[in-house]
Amino acid sequence: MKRIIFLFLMLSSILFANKDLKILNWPEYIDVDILKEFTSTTGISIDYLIYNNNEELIDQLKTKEKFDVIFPSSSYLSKMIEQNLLSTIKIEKLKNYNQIDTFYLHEKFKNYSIPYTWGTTSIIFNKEKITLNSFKNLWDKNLQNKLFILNDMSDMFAISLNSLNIDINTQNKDDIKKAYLKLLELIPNIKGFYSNSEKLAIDFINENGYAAIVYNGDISNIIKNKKYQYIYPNEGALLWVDTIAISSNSLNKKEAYEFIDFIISKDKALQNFKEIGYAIPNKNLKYNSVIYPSQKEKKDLKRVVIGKEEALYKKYWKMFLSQLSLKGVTYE
Amino acid sequence: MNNSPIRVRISVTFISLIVTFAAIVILVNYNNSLKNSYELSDKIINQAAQSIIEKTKYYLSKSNTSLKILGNNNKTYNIYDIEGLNREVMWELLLSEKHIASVFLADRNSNFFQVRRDPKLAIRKIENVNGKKVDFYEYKDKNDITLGYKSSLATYDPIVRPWYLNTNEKRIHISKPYIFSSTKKLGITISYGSLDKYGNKLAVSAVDITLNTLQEFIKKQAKSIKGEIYLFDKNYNLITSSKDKLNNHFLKNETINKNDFEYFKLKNNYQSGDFKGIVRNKGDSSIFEISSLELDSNNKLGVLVTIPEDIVLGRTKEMLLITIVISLLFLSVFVFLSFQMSKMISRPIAQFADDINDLRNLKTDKELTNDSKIKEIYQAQKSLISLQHGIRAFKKYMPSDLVKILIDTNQEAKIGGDEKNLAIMFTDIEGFTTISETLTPLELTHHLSIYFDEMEKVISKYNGTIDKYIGDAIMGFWGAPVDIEEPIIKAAQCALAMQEKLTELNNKWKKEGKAELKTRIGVHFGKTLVGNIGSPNRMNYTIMGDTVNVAARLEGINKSYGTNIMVSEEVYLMIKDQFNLEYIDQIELKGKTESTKIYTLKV
Repeated sequence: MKRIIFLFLMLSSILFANKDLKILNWPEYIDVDILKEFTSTTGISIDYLIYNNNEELIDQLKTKEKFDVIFPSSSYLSKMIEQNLLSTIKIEKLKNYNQIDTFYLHEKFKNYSIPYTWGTTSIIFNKEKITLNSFKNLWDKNLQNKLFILNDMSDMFAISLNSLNIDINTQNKDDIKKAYLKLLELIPNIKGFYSNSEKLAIDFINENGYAAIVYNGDISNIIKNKKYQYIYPNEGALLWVDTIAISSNSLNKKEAYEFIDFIISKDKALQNFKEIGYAIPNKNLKYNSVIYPSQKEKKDLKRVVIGKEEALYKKYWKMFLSQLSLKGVTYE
Repeated sequence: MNNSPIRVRISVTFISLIVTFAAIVILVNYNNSLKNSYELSDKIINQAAQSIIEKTKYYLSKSNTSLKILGNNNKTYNIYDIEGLNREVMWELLLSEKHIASVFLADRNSNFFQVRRDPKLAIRKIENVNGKKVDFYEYKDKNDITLGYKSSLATYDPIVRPWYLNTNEKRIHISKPYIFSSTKKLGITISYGSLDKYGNKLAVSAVDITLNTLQEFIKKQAKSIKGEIYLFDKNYNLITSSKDKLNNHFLKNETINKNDFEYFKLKNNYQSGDFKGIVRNKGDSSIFEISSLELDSNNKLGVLVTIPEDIVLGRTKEMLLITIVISLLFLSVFVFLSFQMSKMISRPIAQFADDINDLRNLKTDKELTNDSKIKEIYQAQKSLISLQHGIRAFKKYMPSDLVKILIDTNQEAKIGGDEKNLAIMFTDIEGFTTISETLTPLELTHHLSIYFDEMEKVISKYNGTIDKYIGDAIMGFWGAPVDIEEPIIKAAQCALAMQEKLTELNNKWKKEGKAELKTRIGVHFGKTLVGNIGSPNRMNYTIMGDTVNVAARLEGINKSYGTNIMVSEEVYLMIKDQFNLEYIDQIELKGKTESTKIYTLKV
């Protein structure tokens, strides 16, 4: 009798485990009510884990555990496709796909992902202290110890390369080195260094920073204060897109499609937008100027893509970080 | 009557005294330390019980307070109306109390809100989402950072769970211990019901408490007191104890019968106060105390602390052993000393006894000691010496054998005699009157005393008895009062020896210019009356009859024949083979009708 029960438990645990939809996502990157509603509506259980950066996501996908729905940044898509971590997406399985504004996603990724959120990385500054038009202004002397930056290697290199008038996605080693040296020159201005963009925004205000590199999704509250301005610089802001994808080893593809279709619907997109504050590329959503740039600004947006010299970028980034830490900059 | 040497007596007396004294000391000591041990163990048990109660109180107090806060919230609001507030109370409680596995709320609509520790720190909600119950976990780290979620349709319905069903009153309810499904750890659920004003159940707040840490504490306490500690609820359900074995019972989901505990049999209801006593089983007696801990007006916990009596008495026994060892040590020293002392006291007494015994045997030559440090013994020794001198002098007037017989037979001397065959000797100094005229009386006495002394020695040597001295004559006999073998031979040998001794003395006296003495001896043998003759107050041990006269006559006849030793025919017939005898004559002796042959004895 005991053995039968044991077998039953074993079987059911396998069956039910497989039925759990396994999701990997960034922190605070979904309205959790959507998860509950999805379960309530479909009866599908969800197992949802959080990662903090794309590298961690890649590492997770390489473990024995099999995930279904993931949310990679577009800049990492090439790499992940190369490493065969993604399933192709069959858009015909998604009833709500036609609501997606696919402008933000590069054509070559459209078979592997759907844009989930997007945003810009740009500058916010205190108008009372300073005026900025370009990323080049970040190196200005009057910003000494007044600048807050993000722990975002690709964006910071892009800003550095941009100020050197070099292609932000260059894979030329000399160029990359130049960008690194240029970043070192920025150190005297740097007051705070943050992984958490929201925390950066808060400290930037509290510590009377003059300027900061931020994700536009995290500043909707700050810009309510007219002192602060978020700009799309002359050379164009940096565009980032986070996407929805299905892991190549997904065991619950049917449920994965069901889930994706559920969250990209107009209602859930709006619900999600309200909760997480980042732009969601749903054609039905109304825009505001900070989150959603004008058509001109939209055209100028530059996409960062992780290329073959990623290791070199990383090496210089590390060297930069060690230099930065010598200065004693707060690292959060 | 048994008697034993004084030394033994004294030793025995001393030792019995000391042993009795030691035994009393040991007993009193043992009794005292026994009392102390019980008092001490009482204190230890009490302290252990109090510390368990304090710990348990501490263990439960914060939970109780939190439960009541949550319960009050539940009275006014639905669980999720004040989700943030409830969550804060629950989260704070869970993080601050390591032994709390989970804090949770449930209302009558099956809504469930939980902050749990295991298997992962999480906030769990079961709520209605679009008409269905969804079971939703938000996994957290200690800093309240979200690590993930889990969403599924609810299969768990809180309102059918025992902790919900059993919590009817606005009171603390404690579950029986059970194994938590999430952690497989033993624990209890404490719950508190919130009622509306009509007494209907609105919600229940509850806390799951793992018993590991409490058990660890209880175990530690139990170990330190070398006993066992049990914590149980008001229905005698064991909550936890210092015994692993009992917890294994729980793991097998067995209940503990309160009758397993002798302690409970002694008292049906421990709730009316603390209770303590001793349970004595065969070879397994324990001292115990039951204390209670009031949780609220209706709920109590009991703490039972037990210590094996052996442990309690162990120290006392140890003390007793030490006392006994020390006592024995002292005892052996005392025994040795008492032997020495008894020896010191007894030696002069024993010596005294020996001396008296010697005196009794008329051994009067011994030098008596008179050196005792003890006054009484010294006096006794002194008296004994006087007595020895007295007896030594007295012996000279009396046949010592006679005295000895009197002493040995322990009889008083009585008038009367027996007829016995005796050898009788008479001696006389030839020409004594002439000699006596040439000497001063002092010189005469001195000269005679030497003579008598020497003669007496010879007679004594040959076991003869001197009856009396008559002037210069000696009258002696053989065969009484002590029977001796061949008295006549002894008498004959004695006569020769006397002559020889006299020759020797004369040679000496001649050289000194003193008067020489010649002795004539007569010896006869025959039936003679011998005994105490005289008046009852003054009597002599003496011989009487014809034989005495014959002996006297024989001595006198020597004068006529110029011989030294004359014996009768009776004597001759008995010793002729052994001695040199010469026929002298056949004469008629005075007092005898027939003539008799006489012989002289020669060397």
